[in-house]
Amino acid sequence: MAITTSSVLPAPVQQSLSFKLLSVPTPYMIHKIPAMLKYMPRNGGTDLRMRRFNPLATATVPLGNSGVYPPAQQLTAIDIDAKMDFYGTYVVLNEQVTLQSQDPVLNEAAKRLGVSLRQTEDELTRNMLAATASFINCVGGTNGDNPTELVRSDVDEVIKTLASADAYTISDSIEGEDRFGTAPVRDSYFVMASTNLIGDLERVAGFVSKSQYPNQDQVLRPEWGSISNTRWLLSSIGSSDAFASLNGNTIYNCFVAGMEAYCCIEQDGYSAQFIYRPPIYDGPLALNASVGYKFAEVPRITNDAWIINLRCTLSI
Amino acid sequence: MAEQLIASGSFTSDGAAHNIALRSDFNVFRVWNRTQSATTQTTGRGCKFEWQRGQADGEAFMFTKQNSVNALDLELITTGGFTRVDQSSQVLGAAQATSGTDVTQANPAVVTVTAHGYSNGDRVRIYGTTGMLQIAGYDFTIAAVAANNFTLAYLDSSGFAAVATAGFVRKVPNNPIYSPQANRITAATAANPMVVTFAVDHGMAVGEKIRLKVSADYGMIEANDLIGEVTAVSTANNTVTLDIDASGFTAFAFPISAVAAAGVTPAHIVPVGDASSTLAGAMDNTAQIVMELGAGPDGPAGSTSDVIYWEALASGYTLAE
Repeated sequence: MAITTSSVLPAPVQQSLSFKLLSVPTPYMIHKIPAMLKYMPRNGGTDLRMRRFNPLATATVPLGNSGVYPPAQQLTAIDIDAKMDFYGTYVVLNEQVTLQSQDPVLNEAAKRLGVSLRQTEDELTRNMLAATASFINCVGGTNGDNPTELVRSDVDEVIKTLASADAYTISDSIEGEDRFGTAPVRDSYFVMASTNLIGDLERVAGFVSKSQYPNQDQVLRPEWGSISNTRWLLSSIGSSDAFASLNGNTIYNCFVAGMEAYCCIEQDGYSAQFIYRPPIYDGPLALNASVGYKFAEVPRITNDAWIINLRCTLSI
Repeated sequence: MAEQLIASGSFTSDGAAHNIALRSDFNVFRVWNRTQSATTQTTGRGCKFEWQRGQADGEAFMFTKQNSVNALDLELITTGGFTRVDQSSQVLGAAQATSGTDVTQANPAVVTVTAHGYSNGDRVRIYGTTGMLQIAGYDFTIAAVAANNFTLAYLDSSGFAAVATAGFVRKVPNNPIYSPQANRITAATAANPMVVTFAVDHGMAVGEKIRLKVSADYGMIEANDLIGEVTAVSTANNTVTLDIDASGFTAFAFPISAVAAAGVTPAHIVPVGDASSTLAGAMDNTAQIVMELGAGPDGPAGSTSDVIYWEALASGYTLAE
């Protein structure tokens, strides 16, 4: 019997594209989660000025019956300013790419640009916090570096400093329930940090994993757990400074933020623009399409006493 | 697509490396040294330099004018040429070990690093300074550069207990990119008004408000958490004068090396805001794309007083890098 095999026939076409594209690594974008969103009005200049009045003194002395007025108090205020900056990037696609490729290149370019936009915003906010927040070095650890690895006494110090500055916590407490292995979670400041801290974080006394929260409804996806009055959001693009410790090791910046500690200001009507220009706009032969984004934004700490960069190194 | 001129200009060399801020899309950069081109050379001298995107950092095609002849010879230099710098980069330079006297006890402190290659105004990070761990992990703006040492112009280490007997240095690109920024304090006067010195160029202006963060390890605990308004600045000394009467405060002093090693939070300031009449403290992203021109007789930035002409070109699209 003559069987027709693949070796009899001419070689088959050997490539077929799986149309389900593979997932692209995308970090958690944590740095804008506790941020206030503000808008720069259109035609409103280049800088947004925010103002905070300073507290007045209390009046604890009785007025008495003399009819004499006590001295009046003067209002004072501080201005917080931020200058708008514009950002953008794009991809240029030759028309033959979109004409001949089996995978949806233009669609994928749009997706990748979207992630790039949001990650750019996140990194800008992260970099601003690293550049301008006051810091406290971890000193309670035993790794012989300065700062040391993260320990409970350092977390307590930051909480005490924020609470003493009247910083309000961001999240409400999660009430305890009669469920095995769970523990109540206190009202908390939010901490934004690197995933490289996972080991050290779990060794801190009093750490509660998010899986041990009594109620999972209020858990954020990038959240790793809580320590005392802090809840920790981790990302692979968490902030770090290379060769910055006493011994030249990487320092990890853990931004501990209270409510209304910082903001991200967007240009009104210009917060994010996605721009596709088909080849017809390219030139005499309409050879190339382009797809890109642009946006205008500036992050700014609005109260420097309500956010602290807790700096640490790793235990090993 | 044909190259298009996107920027050009000239400057007179001060003998140091020179940065030129540019649009990010330049692919070609050229430099002509007018002074040396017009001079009868006694030895070969670089007069024209070219760079294309994709070349390694520090490279350049150098055209040397040979002796009294106007003909140019071509050679490739691999250091001291052009470096395209993205100032938003957080990547530090290579580690260089201190040697000899390492870091001196002096005002200002001097760091010895053989053939370091740094320029005035560069920002460096110092760590592992055995015996002088007070400054380990600090960034400094450097000045008074010599071939094998440089000065930390804003650090008086004469009161430290010992010299550093080891250490490492890395160049910091432009980190952080935001301004105004947190900055470490290297000195603060117990006087009225208070004058504060910083480790890194502060870039502040009159009218800005800053908060002082000074722990007891640095002596002047009374200043901790005070907010002051900048009333005067000195770029030469990298100081600001604040509207704070510190005459009754404890003297500011670095902790000894052993205390620093045991763990301290360095004294620093953070930007708070502005007095009402100025926008000097407005938060701004200062990162740029710059072309860094190496200095010296065979560098594109030339020697002191050389007049340098330059041009940057771009093509519409870059097909490959």
